Amino acid sequence: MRAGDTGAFRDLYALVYAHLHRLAHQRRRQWDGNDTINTTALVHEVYLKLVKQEDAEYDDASHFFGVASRAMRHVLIDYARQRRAARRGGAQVHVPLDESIMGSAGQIPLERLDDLISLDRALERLEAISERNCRIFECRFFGGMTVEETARAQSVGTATVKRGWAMAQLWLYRALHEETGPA
Amino acid sequence: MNQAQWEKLERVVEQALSMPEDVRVAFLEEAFADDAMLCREAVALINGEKPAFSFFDDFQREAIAPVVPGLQGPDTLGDPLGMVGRRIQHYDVEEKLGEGGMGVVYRAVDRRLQRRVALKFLSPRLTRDPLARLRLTQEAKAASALDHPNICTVYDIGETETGQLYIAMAYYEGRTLKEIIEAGPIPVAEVLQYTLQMMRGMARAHRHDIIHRDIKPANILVTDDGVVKLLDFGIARTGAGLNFTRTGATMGTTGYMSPEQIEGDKVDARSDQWSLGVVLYEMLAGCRPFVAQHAAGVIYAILNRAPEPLMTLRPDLPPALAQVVDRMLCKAAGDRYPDLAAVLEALEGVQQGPTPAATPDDRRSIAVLPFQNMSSDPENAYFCDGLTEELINALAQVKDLRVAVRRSALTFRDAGPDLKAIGARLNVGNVLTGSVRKAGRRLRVTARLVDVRTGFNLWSERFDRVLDDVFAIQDEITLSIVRNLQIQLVRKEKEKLVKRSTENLEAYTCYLQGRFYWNKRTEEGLRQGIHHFEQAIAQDPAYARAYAGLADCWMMMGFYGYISGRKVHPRAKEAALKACSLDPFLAEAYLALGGVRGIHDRDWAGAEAAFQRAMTLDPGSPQVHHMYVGWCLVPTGRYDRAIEEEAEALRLDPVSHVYNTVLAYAYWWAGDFDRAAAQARQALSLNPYFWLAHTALGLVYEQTERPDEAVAAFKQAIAVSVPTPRTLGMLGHALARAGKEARARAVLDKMDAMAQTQYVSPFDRAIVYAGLDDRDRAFQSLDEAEAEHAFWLIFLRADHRLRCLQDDPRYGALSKKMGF
Repeated sequence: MRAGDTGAFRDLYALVYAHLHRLAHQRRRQWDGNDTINTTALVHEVYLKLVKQEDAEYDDASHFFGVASRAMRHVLIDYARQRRAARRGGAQVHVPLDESIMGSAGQIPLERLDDLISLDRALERLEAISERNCRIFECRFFGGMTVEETARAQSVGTATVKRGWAMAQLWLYRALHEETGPA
Repeated sequence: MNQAQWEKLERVVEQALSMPEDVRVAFLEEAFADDAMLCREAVALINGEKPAFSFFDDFQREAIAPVVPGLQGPDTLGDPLGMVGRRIQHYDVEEKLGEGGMGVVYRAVDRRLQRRVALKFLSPRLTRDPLARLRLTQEAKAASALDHPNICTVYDIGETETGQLYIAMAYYEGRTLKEIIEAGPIPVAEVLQYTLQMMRGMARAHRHDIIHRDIKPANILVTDDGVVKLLDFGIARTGAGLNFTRTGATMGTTGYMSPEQIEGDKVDARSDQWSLGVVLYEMLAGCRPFVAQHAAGVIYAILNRAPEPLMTLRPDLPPALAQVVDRMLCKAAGDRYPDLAAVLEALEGVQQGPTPAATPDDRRSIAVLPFQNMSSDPENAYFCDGLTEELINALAQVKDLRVAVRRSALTFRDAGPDLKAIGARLNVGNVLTGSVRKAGRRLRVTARLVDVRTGFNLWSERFDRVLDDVFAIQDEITLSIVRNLQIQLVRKEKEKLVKRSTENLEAYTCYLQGRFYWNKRTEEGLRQGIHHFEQAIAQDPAYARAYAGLADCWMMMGFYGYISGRKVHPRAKEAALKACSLDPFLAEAYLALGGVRGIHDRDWAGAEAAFQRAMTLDPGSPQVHHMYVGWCLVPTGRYDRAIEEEAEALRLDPVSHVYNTVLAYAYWWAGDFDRAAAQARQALSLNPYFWLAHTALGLVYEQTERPDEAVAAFKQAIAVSVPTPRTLGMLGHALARAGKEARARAVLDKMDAMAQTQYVSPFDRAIVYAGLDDRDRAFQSLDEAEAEHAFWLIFLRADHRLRCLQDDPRYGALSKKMGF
C-alpha cells in the first residue's frame, strides 16, 4: 500500500487512530465524539505528516502503527524545538507554535521538552547501534503500543520486544544521564 | 559495538534482569569474561534498571500521555482544582459542574449580587500555560462582545490570589442539547425552534466575524424556560485582534467537525453551518450522521462518506427538511449554503409534516379566558389582555398541552360563569380565569384553574406584587398550571416561556398597549397603537416586536382605507425592515414585510418569500397563515391554497370571527358560493356584529342573483358599525346591480361628502362605477387607486365585481402595473 494513495492512506490512518483509542476505551467511557480534539490532535498531526511522505511504503496496518509512532516522535520533537525557540526568542516570535497540538502538548512541562530533545539525539545514536530497538522504543514510548502490538508492527517476536524495550530504556537512560554515556 | 556484541549484550542483560540483584554482577562478569568493555557496559546498564524504568515511566506520563489518549490516567473526578467551598474574591464556590478539554467549570454564588454564576477555570495542567490563559481571555472577550439572548452571558474575568485565571458567566438552569437528545425523539417543531435559536446566536457571532468552531450538543444549553444558549467560545476564532489560532490548526470536536476543519484548512462561518447540520441531523435522527466505533472511523466518514439518509431513519420528516440538512452537510464548503440567512430561507420551504389528528385528551387541554380588569382605571384593560396573551403563548410552548389558541378565548370576555359551556365550545378540559387589579405600580393578580367537567378548582392563587414582577408572575402561573394538569415534565419540558425580545418593562408595557389598540382595527385604535409602539421603541430602540407592531398598524391603516396607501408605504416599509434587521427570526416582522413587498412594491415573489419565512419561523401562529392568504395567495390567484391556509388559521384558532369570515371570503374568491355563504353564516353566528362577515354574505348574494338580499346584507354591515367608504362602495355596487341606479349614484355623492372630512379610497368609487357599468370612470378610479397603492386593488383579479372589466384592454395594463 502506498502512502501516496490518499484514500487507502486514510483507511490506514483510521486504523492507527482506532488502535490508539482502544486503550482509552478500556479505561474510559465509550467514545462519544464529545471530547474536544485535544487528545486527538497529535494523531491527526501524525496523519498529515505521513501523507506527505509519499515515497514511504507500508506492508500492513501493523507496520503502519510503527510508522505512526515514529511520526509521533517527530511531531513531538518538532514541537519541543519550536517551543524552546519561542522561549529563547522572546514572546513576539513563534508564539503560535502549532495550535493543533497546543491544546494537549501545552500540558507538557517545560523541562520535559528539553528531555524530548535530548531523547531524540540519543535515539539517533541508538538507531545507529540497533535500529530495531529504536523502533521498538518508538512504538512503546511514543505510540503507547503494547508488547504484542509492537511485535506485530515490527515483525518480531514478543520476547524480542520485551528485551529490546528493556534494553533501549537502560541504554537511553545512560545516554541521557551519564556524562560519558554508553559505549 | 558491532551487531553481534550488541545482541549478546542484550541477551545477557535480559537474563541478568531476571535474576536476584545480588547475583547479577557475578553473572555478568562470567558472561563477559572475555570482554571487559562489554562487561562494564552491562553492569552500568543493569545498575540503571530502577531509575531508568521509572524515568521513562514518568517521562511518558508527563510528556506523551497528554497527547496519546491511551496513556492518560483515569479522569480526574471530583474537584481537580480544590475549589469547592472556597471563596474566590466575592464568589463562593459550591460545586463542580463539569470539565472539558481546557477548563473546569464550577457553580458559585456571587455574594455581592446574590446570584448564581458559573466560574470557569483552566485545567490544573494549564493553569500556568500562557497560551491557555490567553485563550481563556479570548473566550471571555469573544462571548462578551456578543451580547445576545442566545449566547451565554459573560460577566467578568478575574484572577484568584494564587494567580488562577477564571471567567464568571451566567448560570442557567437547564439541560444541554446532548441530554435532551439522549432523552428520546424530539418533535420536529421543537427541533426547528431550537435550531432557529441556535441560528440566531450563531448569526450574531458570524456578524461579528467570530466563528464558534465547536458547535455540538454538549455546548448548547436549553434553559428551563426554553431559551437556547450557546456555550464555550473557548476555541472561537475572531477575525480581528490577536489571532493565535493559525490556519491549518485543528481544533473542535471530532463528531461535529467539518471536513475543512479536520483537514486543517481555513474555516469560515460555513464550518459552523456544517456543525449545526450535524446537530440538526442528530436531533432529528437521534444519532449522528457520522458514526463509527472509533474517532478514526468518524473522521474517515466525515471526509468520505455520505450520511445515512435522514428520510430512512425518520420517514415522517418533511422531505424538504431532509434536503436542507443534506446541503448543510456537503463536504465542500462551497456546496453548502452561503450563510445562515440562506439556511433560514431554505427552512422556509419546509412544510410541517401532517399534524396528527387531534386526539382530544381533555385533561391536557386548556383555554385561557381573558383576565378581568378589576382596576379602577379601565385603561388597564390592555394589561389584562396582554397578560392573557402572554399566558396563552407560554402555555402553547408546553409539549403535550393543547391550548385553545389566542384570540379564540377572548371571545368569552364577557361570558358568564358557565365554564362548562365554554369548555365544550372550545373543546378543552380546563379553563384558566383570573383578574388583575393594578394601582400605580402595585399589582394583584388572581388566577384560578378549573376542571370544566367537575367544576372544581384545580388550583388558585393570588399574587400581590409590583409591576416589575410581572414576568415572574407569568412564569409562576404557567408552572402551576402545568403542575396541576399533571403533565409529565422532565426538566426540559418545564414551561417554555414566550420569547420576549426586550427586558425593558416599560417598553414591554407600551408594546402590550400597542397590540391592544391595534386589535381594535378602528382608525382611532390604530393611531393609538402607533403611538404606543413608538413609545416602546423610544424605551428600547432595539425592540424588534415593537417595530413589527408599528408596521402592522400602518398596514392596517391602509388596508381599511383610513389613509392613502401612498402615505402608508414608506412608514410601514421602514418599520418592517427595521424589525427584520433587529430580529431576522421574528415571524411577525416578516408578515409586515410581506405586505409591503406585495401591496406596495408589487414584488409578489418577494412577498411570497417573506410569508414563507414567517411560516417557517412560527408555523403554529394562525395569524401567519391568515395574512399569507389575504396579502399573497389571493392576489396571486392561488385560491385553493388560500382556502387551505385560512382553514389552517381557523383550525389553530377555531372561534376567531376574523378567520371564520376570511375563510368565507376565500370561498367567494374561489367561486365556491355555497360554501362561502355557509361559512359567512358560521362567522355571523359567532359574532353577529362583525361588519366584514355581513359583507361576505352580501358578496355571495350578489353572485348568486339575489340582489335585494345583497343590498340588505351591506346595509346590515353598515348598521353594525359605522359607514365607511369601504362598506358604502359595496352597497353602491349592490344597488347598481339591483337596478337601483339612482340610489347607487346617491352613494357616490355620499362618498364625495365623506371625502371632505376623511380619506376616501378611489378603489371604493371604482367598485360603484363598475356596478354601474361606467367603464371609463371605473378605470379612471382604478388607475388612481393604483397610483395611491390602494390596498384592495391587490384583489383585482379575485374580485368578481371587477371581472366584468377583464375584456377591456385597460384591464390588462392595470393588471400589469400591479405586477400580476
